[in-house]
Amino acid sequence: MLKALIKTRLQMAWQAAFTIGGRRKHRKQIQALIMVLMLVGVLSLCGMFGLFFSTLLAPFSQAGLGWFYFALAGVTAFTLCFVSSIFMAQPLLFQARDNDLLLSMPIPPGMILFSRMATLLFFNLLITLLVMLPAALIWAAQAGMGLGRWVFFALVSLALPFMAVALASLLGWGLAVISTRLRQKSLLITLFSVALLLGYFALMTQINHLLATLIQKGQQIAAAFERALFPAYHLGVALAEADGISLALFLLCALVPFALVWLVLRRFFIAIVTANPGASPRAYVEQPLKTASPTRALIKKELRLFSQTPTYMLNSGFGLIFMLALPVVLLVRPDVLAPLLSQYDIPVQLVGLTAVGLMCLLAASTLISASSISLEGKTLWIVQSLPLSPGQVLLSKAYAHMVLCMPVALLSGLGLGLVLKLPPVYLLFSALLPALTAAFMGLAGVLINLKLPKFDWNTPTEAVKQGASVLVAMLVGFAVVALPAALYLLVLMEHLSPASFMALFALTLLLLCALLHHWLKHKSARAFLALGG
Amino acid sequence: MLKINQLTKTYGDKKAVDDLSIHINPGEIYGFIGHNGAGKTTTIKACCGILQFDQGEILIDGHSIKTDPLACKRLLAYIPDNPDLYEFMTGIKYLNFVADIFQIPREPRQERIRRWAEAFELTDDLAQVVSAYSHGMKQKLAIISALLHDPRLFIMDEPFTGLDPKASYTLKQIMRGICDEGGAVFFSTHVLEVAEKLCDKVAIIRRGRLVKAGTMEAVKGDESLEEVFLELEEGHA
Repeated sequence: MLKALIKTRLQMAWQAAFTIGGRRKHRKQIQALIMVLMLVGVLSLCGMFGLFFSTLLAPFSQAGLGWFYFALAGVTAFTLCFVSSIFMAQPLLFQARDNDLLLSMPIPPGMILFSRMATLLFFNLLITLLVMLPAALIWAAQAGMGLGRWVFFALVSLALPFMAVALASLLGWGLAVISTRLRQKSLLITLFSVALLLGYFALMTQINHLLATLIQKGQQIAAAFERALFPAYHLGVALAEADGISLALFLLCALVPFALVWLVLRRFFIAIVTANPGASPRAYVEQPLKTASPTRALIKKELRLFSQTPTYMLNSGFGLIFMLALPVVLLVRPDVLAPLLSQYDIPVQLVGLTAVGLMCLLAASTLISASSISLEGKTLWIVQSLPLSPGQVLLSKAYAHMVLCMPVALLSGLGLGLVLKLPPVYLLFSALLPALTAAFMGLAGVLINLKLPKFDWNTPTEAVKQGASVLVAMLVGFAVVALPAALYLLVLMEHLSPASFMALFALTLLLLCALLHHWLKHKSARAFLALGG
Repeated sequence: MLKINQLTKTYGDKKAVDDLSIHINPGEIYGFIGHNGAGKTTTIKACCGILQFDQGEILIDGHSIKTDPLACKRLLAYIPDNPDLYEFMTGIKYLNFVADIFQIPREPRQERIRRWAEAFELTDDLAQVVSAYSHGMKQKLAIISALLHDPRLFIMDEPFTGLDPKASYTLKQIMRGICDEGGAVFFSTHVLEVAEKLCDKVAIIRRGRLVKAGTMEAVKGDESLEEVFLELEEGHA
């Protein structure tokens, strides 16, 4: 029974990741493209971690801190597992759509819970291997690793996800309890997620400094690790010295908390999944209603969906956060760029061009409209049955994207230009080009989503994170900024001033926007109707 | 009011609706019955302009759903078999959204929402998000939103599913009221007793083809609609 439950969960996850909905012409090619892109992503991450650990191994080995090398790999893997699991844990464990179905069957609640925790364990195992495997391979290449040590490595890698899942499940329980009591839970979850995200990127910006500190003060940090992080210490000793006792202690540290969390959650499982979502109901009191034009009503609807869906905000509005943060960071910490600029004596034109390019890339990575049709899901009948033209419906999605992105792009671009003290012409383009890129992405995202919709989702996360349209929009966004930039730097630089190039780029974007707008307004009816079957 | 002429819709090699013709006059409540997968929902969706069809023509008050869909949609109201609504909106925001699309002025908008919400006993719940609604409450909200623009043609797919007895009664009264004012109602149902009592005319569809249609008396004669339906099913088995 447990095997069937886990198998069903994993099949659902596989389908969500790789199945292209509808009767699409090039379904197999799109699936293959998604798989290739995922493989490239996985290999890139492995390479990144490999590079990181190859820097650490020699100094740690020479200092007799081999265990610290593996302990660090373990902590990195655990952190990544935990961060990726906290927001997955609550919907996966407690808000699955098959709750009622499974609870009505003769299946013990503890088994339903375990099957869901096992799915989380599986995903965490993949993440663990992304970190631990490069670390082990670097060690094996430089110091050698016998069969026994590989067995230890396998056991540690299998056990490590249990710790992350135990902690994430506890937090998921907390979020589930909060969700039943709060009205503004979307806002809370979003703020919490943004804080985590910013913390993560703040850490990433300091990674070189941290790496240097680790190498310089390895002994002190290792001592602190040994004292404070008991499981990490024994993980390191188990792998570096093939110590059986340390392995047993680490396995205990990983498995016992998991078992305890499962026992506790099993007890409350039915109460959590059957709790009425939302705060206590308040009765409606009639108020004067605000009226709006159909287009305005549609845009408001899109904005409401965006603001009420944390996954949508965080995944699709990713670029917005960075667009806002970049000028602020450079204003608060001018020391980040100043040495770089003075050391290499970079001409102001190139600084301006790079700044504008960076803001355009951030605007292009904001993909709000690229999943906006998919997110209609089963409610698509509403806009299709109301007296609205396909152009009105589709353009409202692009306009909502623009309403959210263009002011941010404009102001942040201007802010960045001011912080970098760019000349007036660059200042103009630093505001204009990111805003135009945002407009282009709004329109292109809708068109791409119209061609690659995904309606067979169970949670909005699947539509936002796993839709082929988002992936294609991301590539298109990158291409529309990177290709002209590469063309300029490699070919046109000698013949065209940066300002002329930016003016040409602005005109091209404007033309593309006009073409897309015209197509969505006048030529999209057939494709829009075809969404219904 | 609604003319379906030789409608044909295929999915791959399968004909979901095959050369179907039905005419519904103003003042008529028209029932549409058939087994699961007979083609009822496909026909209804095609009438509402949310499904493309291969052949035939659908006219609503003289307007073609293919060439003039917006004029048709201004006249009709559609309620699907499963009321999937915007879960992120409150009930009142959803109703206001639909009223915005139909450009209903503020005063009549406020009055109609008040009237229909009271009729379906949903007033107190309008401040709740739709995600907190039960199936029946969502169905009531879908019906209220469909009534806001005073539709001339009411097209419904299994409208009584999930409604409590009082709401079912209210809906039946509304259906009759629309017809009394010169509108028309076209709805599918599996509850043959309801169809028998409520409908002026009925059409029976089997595997996409019209098997029998006409006034209730002409279709059922001295038998019950259930008996006629089962006989037709067995006759074609």
